[in-house]
Amino acid sequence: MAKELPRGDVATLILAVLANGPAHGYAIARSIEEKSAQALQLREGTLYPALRVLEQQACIESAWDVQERGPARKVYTLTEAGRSELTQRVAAWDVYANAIAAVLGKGRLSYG
Amino acid sequence: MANHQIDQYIKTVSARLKRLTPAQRAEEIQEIRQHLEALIAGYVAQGRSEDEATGAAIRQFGRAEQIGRELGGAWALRQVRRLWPYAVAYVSLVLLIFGFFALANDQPSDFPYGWANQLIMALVLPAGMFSMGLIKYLRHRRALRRG
Repeated sequence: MAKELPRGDVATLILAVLANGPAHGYAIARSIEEKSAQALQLREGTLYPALRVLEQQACIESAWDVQERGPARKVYTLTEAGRSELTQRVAAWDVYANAIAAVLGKGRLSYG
Repeated sequence: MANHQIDQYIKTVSARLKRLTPAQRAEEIQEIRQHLEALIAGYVAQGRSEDEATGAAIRQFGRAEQIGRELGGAWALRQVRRLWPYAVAYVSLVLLIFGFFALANDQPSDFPYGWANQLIMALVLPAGMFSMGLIKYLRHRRALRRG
């Protein structure tokens, strides 16, 4: 079942995608879709407000990439600040996910 | 690609980005249009009609009204953050000037006397200093908006 993403998680996923290299908005959306095997439902327009906030926080930078064929595209790159922000977010997420899993794991056993 | 639905979508988003300069708005619009066109191209490649593909692309992107509002909000946040240092500078100046007045008119026996006037002076003086900057900023914004 597809799950709509909370806003804060969209920013984290953007940072994670950009950790693999610069990308434009459409490519970020495809990467999230592909990696989550369509399990995460992203209203793709919400990427852009999240990108603006991340830019403001200096976690990412953007530049128009002029292409030989086709129109210029705005490409986003992770900054050093963005990389350490991602590390912190991943650590916080691990703590959260492990705690939930620990509780759910015990719950599941008792149902079994 | 001439697509009436997309034009309408862009128009709705654009209406929510009135506070941006024309250049900033044009960049946002170009990015959104490219994204939507890429989604449409994908659906058309899967065999859908242009109309169906556009509908699907818009559903996947999110309602124009909402996306426009969220994007406008993100920019507003950016503007507030830019003004934040000035707000801090203003409050610091007010406190400094008020402190100066309080010390200069130091009469411990009747300290509260005249404090309201001193506070008003302390509020007005830095505001006067900032007003020139504010007028300049507003003129600059208006010029940018006209493009």
